[in-house]
Amino acid sequence: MTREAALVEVNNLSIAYGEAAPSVTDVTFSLEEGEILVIVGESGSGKTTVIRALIGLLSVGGHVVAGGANYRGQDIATWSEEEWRKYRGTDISMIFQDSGSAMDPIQTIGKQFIAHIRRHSDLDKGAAETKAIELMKMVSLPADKDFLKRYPFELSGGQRQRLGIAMAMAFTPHLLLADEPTSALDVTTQAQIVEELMRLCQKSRTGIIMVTHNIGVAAHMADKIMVMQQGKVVDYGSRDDVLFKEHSAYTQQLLQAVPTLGGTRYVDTVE
Amino acid sequence: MSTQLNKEAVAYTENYGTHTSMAAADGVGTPILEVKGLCKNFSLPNGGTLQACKEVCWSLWRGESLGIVGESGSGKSTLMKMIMQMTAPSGGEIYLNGVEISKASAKEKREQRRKIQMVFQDSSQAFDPRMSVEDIICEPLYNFGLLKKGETTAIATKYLEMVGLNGTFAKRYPHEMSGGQRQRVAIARALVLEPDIVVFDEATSALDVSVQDSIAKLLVKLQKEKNLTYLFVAHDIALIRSICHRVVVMYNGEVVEAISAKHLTEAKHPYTRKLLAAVFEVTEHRKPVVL
Repeated sequence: MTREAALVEVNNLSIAYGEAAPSVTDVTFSLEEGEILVIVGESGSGKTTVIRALIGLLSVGGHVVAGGANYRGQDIATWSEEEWRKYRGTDISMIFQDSGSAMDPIQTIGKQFIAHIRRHSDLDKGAAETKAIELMKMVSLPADKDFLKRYPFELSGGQRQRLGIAMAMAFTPHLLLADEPTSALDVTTQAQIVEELMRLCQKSRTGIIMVTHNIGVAAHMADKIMVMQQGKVVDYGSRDDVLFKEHSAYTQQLLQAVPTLGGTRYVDTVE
Repeated sequence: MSTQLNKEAVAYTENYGTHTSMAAADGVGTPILEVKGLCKNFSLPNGGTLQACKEVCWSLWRGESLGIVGESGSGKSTLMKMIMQMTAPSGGEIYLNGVEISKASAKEKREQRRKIQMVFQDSSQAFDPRMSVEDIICEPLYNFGLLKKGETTAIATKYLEMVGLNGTFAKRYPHEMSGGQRQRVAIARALVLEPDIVVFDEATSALDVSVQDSIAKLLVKLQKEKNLTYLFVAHDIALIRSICHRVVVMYNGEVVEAISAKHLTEAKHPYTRKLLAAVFEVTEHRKPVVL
């Protein structure tokens, strides 16, 4: 009997930009349906490169130099552009730090949302609009036609992120990739979006791979955590193992650097 | 209560502390900076008025750091702009060392700017990309006619070392440094005029946590060494708690609560509670987020 393939399996993945030395080396992890993996790291750690590789959208010159990734048992390196188009936006989708900048500023959000739905389905315009409104309701946006007539700049940062999530979740993807989806938001909005993502993931069994520099958010959301530093994995395992059992000196340093409400106050301690 | 606050804030204000209880404070006397009933209104295109700041009151004593916390639209940036005299208040007063500054002449304002310096969130945008670090650091001195010929490198080196950078950085350009190094240069530039007050507007929020941590420690160390007075504007309430003596919470243009940073977690105002609840802490058991 063959074991059912994991949702995502990444083996010894190394990625380089141009002729330069690899910026990501030897990354290995796996993800099951409905699981949340959070990749934590500071700037230049390669965390964004890893998730961009999983949606076939590495920046110019980026290429896999060793290892590879399987999506539900298929080697993604073998996919043609056409196959990528089939998966991207439906089966595998992505949200960015500022979903607003991924939208056309001179088209209404309704027009873009409906176009996105119709590109990946055979719904007519009316049905696509109904679906868009349903999806907006799901992420607590005003669910009416008037809201769809707005332009991206007329939305707050939190509303734009909710819209990005609604679009990414339109076809109930198996895999959602999220690159710092809450980092540009106010703290209370961040908390709401974090809850929203966890709820959606639980409901539809979507696996999430999220990149963040906020180790507090990681601790709240993650089933698994991977800590990266300068292109290498320094810790990988279950949330509890990585945060509270055994971890590298680097992870310890990160944990200590996060200001907390119960931690030491520097005004009292620094001499 | 050593400070006037508006009514609602007073209702929520306990444990705010007095200036005499401040470890580093000068003691009794005049606050170094005081805002009284400060208001700012903006006219909206539809004929209405946006009250960006409503009757804001607080005081700041020498050697103290005051944190202003709030989210987008809370009025904290408008408040900073008024203190920096980049925009005129619609009402109320600002006192610097007991002297009302908001109605000063242009010449007086220029002199007063020497006394308050600012560090911005993104120094790569605040620096001239074609100026070397030594020129960036010494430009404020030059602007006030305080720089003698041939002194530039020596002064820049002194201030670079003060902020934990090697003197060799003097000859570099902004793009040749990391974000954390640029913020250190921005701090050096702010200190070069020996101001009374340094204002930090989200000065560490664009940095990696470990870099933020080292800059936070540096700022507290410099404050203690030089008896500096800080005003911190930030959205990260946990960071503010770590580096400030007192905290003022703003919401919708108003001060809703003022509290000593030590007692921050005992805050009572619902909005402050909401801000505290929104902090994700690394704890063994996940706490449900209540919003």
